[in-house]
Amino acid sequence: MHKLNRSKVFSRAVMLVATFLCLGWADSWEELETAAGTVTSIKAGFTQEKHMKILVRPLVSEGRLLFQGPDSLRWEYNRPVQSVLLLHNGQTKRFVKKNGSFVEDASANLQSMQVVVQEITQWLGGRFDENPAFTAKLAPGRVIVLVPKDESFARLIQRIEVHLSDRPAIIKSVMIFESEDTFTKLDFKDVIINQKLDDVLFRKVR
Amino acid sequence: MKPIILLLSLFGFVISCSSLPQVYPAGDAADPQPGRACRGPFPDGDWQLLHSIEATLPGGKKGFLMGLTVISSSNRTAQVVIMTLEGFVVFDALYDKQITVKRAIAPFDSEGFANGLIEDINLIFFKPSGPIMTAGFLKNGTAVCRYQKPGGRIVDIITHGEHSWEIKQYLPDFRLARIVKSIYLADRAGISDRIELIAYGSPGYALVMDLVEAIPLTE
Repeated sequence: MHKLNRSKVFSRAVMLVATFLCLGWADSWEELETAAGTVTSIKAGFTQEKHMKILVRPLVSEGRLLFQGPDSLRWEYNRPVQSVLLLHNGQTKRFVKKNGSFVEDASANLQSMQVVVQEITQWLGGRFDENPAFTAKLAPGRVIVLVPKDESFARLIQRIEVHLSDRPAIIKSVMIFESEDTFTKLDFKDVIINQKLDDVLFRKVR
Repeated sequence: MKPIILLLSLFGFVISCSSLPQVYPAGDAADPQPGRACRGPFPDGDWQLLHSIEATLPGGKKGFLMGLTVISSSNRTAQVVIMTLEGFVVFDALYDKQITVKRAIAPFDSEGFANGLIEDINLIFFKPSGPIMTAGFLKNGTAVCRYQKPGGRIVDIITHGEHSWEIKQYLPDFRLARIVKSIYLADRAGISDRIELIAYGSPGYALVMDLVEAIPLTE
């Protein structure tokens, strides 16, 4: 039905979230670029709410995100299902905890994520308005609104809203709208930037 | 010559067909087990269910997804949403006598996938819609209730005590098509903690669905 596969779509969303975590406070693209340029690593906890029309209450997940520039990411869920997505040196892997141990997810076409990883360097420099996949608009209240340029992509993700914190280089939340009544809200907490992160965190699930 | 060819063809047809397991009538007419098997391990009422799904595909590769199912046992309707572990919706369909696919992203965008999924949902969550053919015991002593579904498929519901059930679906030629195992760790009004499904055929697959959350939608 759609040409884009699920991994590619998700990967774009994940990398955008990771990237904008380090963008932070700004009222103009120039200030964003300046703030982002100072960030080399990010460590944050998050709460994720999945909202859908059919749900009596949102699905809630919790986890943490680790990012080390230029291209290492650990996207980890602690509940309700433990899973870890690792991006390091251009390689992408996902692991899921089953019966007490982590099992690699071999089905996902994670190769496509590597393409997106290459974009992160550009975004880390605060040049996210140059991202060819999205049209970016800086809205009042420190909100960045990203709308996919590609029509087939836009059918899968309508828009992404990045709500910046009033603290420089810190993001408050991200909302990913798949449709008007289906969206994911990520609230970040305990954000620490520029802390030395052990390389093994991006290579091994444990 | 023709009768010989006909006989060989008939013989070939007969040996290519499988047969259903024999059902033995209960020795004691008051034995409640076959009747219990007929009620089956199906949720009663309206529910919102969230499962983590481990899919084993041809070649043994494993994939992981989340499955959200909103079912109504009285209306026999279901809304089925499949998500990545991160919550991105890759398949969304409504089943109400027929399937309406609202969203489908490759590789979940084929008609065959949607039809197979709804067949699995039907088998797992809804009591068979056809009449009871017979009820009793299998050779190994487990209680069984046999239904005939529209289209000629046969469904055996087998109970292994309080905490384990099996549902076996046979094609009209009696070949085994699906096995569903429902495992209960606690009494949850028909909501099992783990569901294991094996689909035979080409391509075959296996699913393990672990219950994450069950929310009753009716009082």
